[in-house]
Amino acid sequence: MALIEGCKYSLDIHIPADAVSAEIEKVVEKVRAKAHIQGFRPGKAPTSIIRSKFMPDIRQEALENLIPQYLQKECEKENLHVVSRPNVKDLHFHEGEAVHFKAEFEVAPEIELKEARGLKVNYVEPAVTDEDVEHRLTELREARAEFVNVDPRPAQDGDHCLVTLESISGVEGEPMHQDDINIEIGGKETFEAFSNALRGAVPGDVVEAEVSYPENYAAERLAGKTVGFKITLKQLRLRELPELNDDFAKDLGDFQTLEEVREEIRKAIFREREYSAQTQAKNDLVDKLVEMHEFPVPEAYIDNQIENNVENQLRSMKAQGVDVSKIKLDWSKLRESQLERAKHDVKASLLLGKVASSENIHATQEEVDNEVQRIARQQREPVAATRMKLEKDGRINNIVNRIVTEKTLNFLFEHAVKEAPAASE
Amino acid sequence: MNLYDVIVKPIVTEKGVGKKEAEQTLCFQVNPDATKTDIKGAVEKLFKVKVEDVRTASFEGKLRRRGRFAGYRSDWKKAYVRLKSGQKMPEYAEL
Repeated sequence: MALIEGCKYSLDIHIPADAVSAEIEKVVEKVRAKAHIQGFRPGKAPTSIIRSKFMPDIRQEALENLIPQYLQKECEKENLHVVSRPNVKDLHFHEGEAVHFKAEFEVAPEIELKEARGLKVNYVEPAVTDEDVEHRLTELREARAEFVNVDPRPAQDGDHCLVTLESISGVEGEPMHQDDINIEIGGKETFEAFSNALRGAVPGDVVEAEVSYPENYAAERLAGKTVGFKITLKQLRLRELPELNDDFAKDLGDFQTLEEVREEIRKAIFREREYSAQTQAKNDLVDKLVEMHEFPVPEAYIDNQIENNVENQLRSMKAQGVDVSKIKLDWSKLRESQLERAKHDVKASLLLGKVASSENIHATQEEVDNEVQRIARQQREPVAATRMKLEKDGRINNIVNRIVTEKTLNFLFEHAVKEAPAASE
Repeated sequence: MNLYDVIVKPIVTEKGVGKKEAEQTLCFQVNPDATKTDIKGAVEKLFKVKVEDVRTASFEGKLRRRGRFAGYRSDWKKAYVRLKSGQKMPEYAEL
C-alpha cells in the first residue's frame, strides 16, 4: 500500500489465477444460459462456442466482478474506509494467469478531534429595549391605519390625495391614465414634483407636474423619462393611526390589554434576535472548528459537495422562473470558484459528524417522528404516507442527519465560552 | 474442383456438435456437385485427418416469396464425414 497524497492511496492487488478462471467459468455459464446462437436452443450451445464468441465481454464482466471484491478484501485488511470510486491502473490480465493491478482511491480522512467544548465565541444575549417595542408597535399601527376624508381645504404635507393621473407628454404611444391613485404629499416614496404640484390644491383642482423618473424605475415604460402629468385632485384624506389602547390590542388578536401586546412583541423581537445571534455564533464556532483541524479532504467529497451546491442553486433559480436548460455550465470554472467553499463545507460536516459521534449525539425516534409529522402537515398528507415516501427515496436519512447536525451545533454552542464581542460593534 | 469449392461451410448446430462428440462425425454444407470422393479428399487435406466414410444428403431450396414474387433458395448438399477412430477432432475455426 502506498500513500500518494492527502487521502489518496494506491494499492497493488493480486488475484490468483484459479480465482480468475473460476470467475470466468461462472460468467461463461451465465452467458451460456441466455445466449441465442444460431443452430442451438438457448442454453444448449457448447462452452467453446460461447467463449470464442463472447470472450471480450466475458473478460470484462469477470473483471468487474473480481476487482471490487478483491479491492474490498484488501481494504478491510488495511483498515481503509474507501470513499471514492477506485481508479484501476496498470491492469495485467491474461487468460490463465494471475491478475494484478494498481488501484487508486481516496479514503476517509483520519480526524483527530480536538476539544470541542469550551470554544470561544462572540455572543451576547440580545437585549430588547422599550424603544424597539414601541417601534414595532408603530409599525403595527401603520399597517392598520385607515384613511379618513377631510373637509375640502388646501392640501398640505402629510395629506393623502386621491387623484387621477393623465400623462400629457413624455410617454410614447398611448398616454397613461390611472384613476384613484394615492399620493402622499411630502411622503418618502412620493416624487418631489407631485408633492410640490399638489400642495395647496383643493379637491376638484387640476394641476400639472413634470416628473423625471430614474433610470432604474420599476415600470420600464417610464424609466429614465421625464413625463408631464395632468393631475386631478379628487379627494383629500388623512391617514389615521389606530389609538394605542386595549381595543387596539383586542383587534390584533388574542390579546386583552395593550400590556400583553407589548410583552408579546418583546418576546418576538427577542426570539428573532436570539436566533440570528445564535446562528451567527454557531457559524463562527464551525469556522473555528474547521480552522483548528487540518486534514486532507477527499476530492470525491468535494466534488459531491460542489455538485450539490450547484444543483441547489439551479433549483432555486428554477423556482424563480429561470429557464435552467438555457444556462450553460462551465464545469471546470465552476469547480474552481466553488472549491474553497466546498472544501470548507465538507470539512465542517465531517467535523460535526465526528463531534456528534464522540459526544454520542443521536437523533431520537421521537425527534424524527416530529419532523416527519411537520412535513406531513406542510404537504397536507397523512403522516404514514409521508413517512413511506421519505423512507422510499432515502430522505428520511437527510432528516436524521439534519437533526443530528442541529443538535451538535446546539451542543457546541452550549459548551462554548461566550464572550461579549469587541466594542467595535 | 478447388478444395474450398467443395466444402462451402461447416454446419455448427446442436445436432452437429452432438455427432461430433459422439460419432466422430463432422458436418458440412458442400457443393451440390461434389461427390463423396471429392468431399473425402477435401476434408483429409484441409484438416489433415483420415476419413472413414462420407454420407451425403441433397436438399432442395425452399420456396421463398416476397409479395407476389416467388422464388427458390439454392439447392444444397449436406455431408456427414466420419473420421477414422483415434483421430483428433479438428475445430471448424481452422477452416
